[in-house]
Amino acid sequence: MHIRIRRAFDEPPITYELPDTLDGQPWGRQSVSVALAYIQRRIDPTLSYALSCGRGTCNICVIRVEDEVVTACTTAVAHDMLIEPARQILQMKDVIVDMGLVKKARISSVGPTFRRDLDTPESAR
Amino acid sequence: MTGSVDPFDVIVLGGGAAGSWAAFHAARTGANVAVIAKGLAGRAGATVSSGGRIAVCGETLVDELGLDADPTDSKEKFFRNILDGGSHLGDPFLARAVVDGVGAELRILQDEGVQFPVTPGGVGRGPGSSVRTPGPDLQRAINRLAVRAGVRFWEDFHAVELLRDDAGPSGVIGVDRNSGTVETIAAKAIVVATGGTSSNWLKRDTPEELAGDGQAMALRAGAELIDADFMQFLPCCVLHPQLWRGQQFTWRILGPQGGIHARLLNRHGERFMARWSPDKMEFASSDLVSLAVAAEITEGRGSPGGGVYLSWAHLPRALLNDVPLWHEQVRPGWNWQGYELQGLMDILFAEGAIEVAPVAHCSLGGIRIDGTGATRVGGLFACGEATGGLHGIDRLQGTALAQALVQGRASGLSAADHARGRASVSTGSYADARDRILAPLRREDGLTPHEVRERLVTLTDAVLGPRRIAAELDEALATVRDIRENALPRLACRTRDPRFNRDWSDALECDSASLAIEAMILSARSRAEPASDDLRWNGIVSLRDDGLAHERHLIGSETI
Repeated sequence: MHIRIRRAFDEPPITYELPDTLDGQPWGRQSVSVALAYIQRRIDPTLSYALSCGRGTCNICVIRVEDEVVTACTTAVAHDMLIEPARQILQMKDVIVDMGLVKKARISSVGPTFRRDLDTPESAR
Repeated sequence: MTGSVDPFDVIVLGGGAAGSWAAFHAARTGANVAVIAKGLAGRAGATVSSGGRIAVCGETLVDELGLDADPTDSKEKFFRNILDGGSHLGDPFLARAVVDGVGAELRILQDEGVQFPVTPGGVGRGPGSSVRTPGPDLQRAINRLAVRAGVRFWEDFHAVELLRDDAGPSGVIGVDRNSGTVETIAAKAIVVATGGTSSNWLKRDTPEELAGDGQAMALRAGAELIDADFMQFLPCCVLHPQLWRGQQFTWRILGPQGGIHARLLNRHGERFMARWSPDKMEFASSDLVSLAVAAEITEGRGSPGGGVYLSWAHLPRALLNDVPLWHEQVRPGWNWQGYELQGLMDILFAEGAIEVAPVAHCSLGGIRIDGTGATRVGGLFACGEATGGLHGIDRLQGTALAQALVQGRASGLSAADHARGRASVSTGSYADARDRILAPLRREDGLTPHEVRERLVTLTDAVLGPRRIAAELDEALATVRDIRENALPRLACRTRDPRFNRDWSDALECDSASLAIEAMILSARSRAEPASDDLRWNGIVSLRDDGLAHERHLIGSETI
């Protein structure tokens, strides 16, 4: 049992091996969100994914599976499925895409709306 | 390290209905306002996935919104229902504010084009009348109004600690998850609207990341929590299959609340409700069913997933097949409220039963405020599910959104007013806070944050469910204090890239969640004492030099 995740568009997808079941439940009855959390927690802590409402309403967790944009929390895991960021232009990191509803009114420490009048300590890096 | 900076008049922590509505009202008075949201404004939080019901009485619908409703469904009745629903542990002033104020807020949304179909009467513990608009639609309208009023949004900002200067709260420090940087934002007044604490339960029907950040920040800033232990549970939501976790459909529509005689079974196949309510069985009150299910689980008779079985195996399949033919809320293909449930039905038909459990649904306790949204800390306000005191021990349907709107207005206006009276602010010295935030990212070896987070969730699920046992709470209090003392200082992220670093988010949430959980356990422990008299009281938690302290305040004895 494995799934593939495309974390960067200029790189091939990464294959992650999963156990046959999780907590005794077959993957076919669990969501891609559960699989992403499992991978981040148990296999690869560098994976970034979006936490969500868990019921297909908020759309924060959208991903692309077999060329279709779906919510990760309501999509069942399948063997060898390819998970990609929903849209390249919206990609923030790994499978997280920017689904912001108020982008025009947004402020942040990066990007075109950068506000230097705010006190900004040096990066955590 | 100090900073003297150009502040916002008001910052609102949280971008759900309450937060953005507070920001909208503050900005309408001319204040310079920013919403600081841990996730995406209008998507993260509980509003977007709520049923969208807003409690409002018929009298208000007719008089203030010009809608067709029952005018004898009066404000007085609505007010009484709120207090009765919460066993008179709620604050009459806060309840009166919701009853009297919700019409004006709905009017603003109605003028913005939001449609409000009226539901006459209520179901279950209904408030009387209510209107319903889908959560995403409501949130979109609120965002639109806030943006038009000039509100700015800083999203993916994980607020960790409030800053203060000599005059009071002066801003917030936290992590911009997208840039991976620690940032400060200065403000003359702060509104906490971060929602409830339900993500500390494994069994819940609410979104992720509702850890109790706002409650913890408010406690550290000197505010109090009221009845922190009060949590609304829904009796039997889906646990397994996980894909439909949290769904109420099988209980509310296809089960006893929908009038269908499904059966609750423990792992021995026993209909355990016979021991709790031999006459009504599964049709007993929600509270009793929740209690019974919780007892089966904790006493070791539950299902593998930590619930009990809800079974239709004794009913002919044709009977279930016919439900969509007559049930007004079920559409063809087993579609309910927009959810596609065919897959769930396939499993149900194949196996006869699913696993269900009571789930945490809505925090009823939280930050203590007065009718103006003020905490006892000058310049610090709060609104919505982050607050407590309105509902008492249980709540009516639709009152959470009515609360978000009414308290959003009150706290937004109060914060803007406070800001006008304050000339300048300083973010003060925040080097210590910054070091604390960065510590898990810098630490070389230590505990994996998600493992500690899972310990906290397991603990909360075990002792703060619908059934509260004094001895278990005592043990849990010792455990959570041990985690705070010994585990938090050892949290270490397994990866150093600070952008959208889940380990870092987990580590920061361990801190706020554990403080909120400790407060909830303290309150629950006091409530679990055998009642010595008939006196009614609210449990008040505050943070003192030596840690959290809990006091009983007799109802009617004091107002803040």
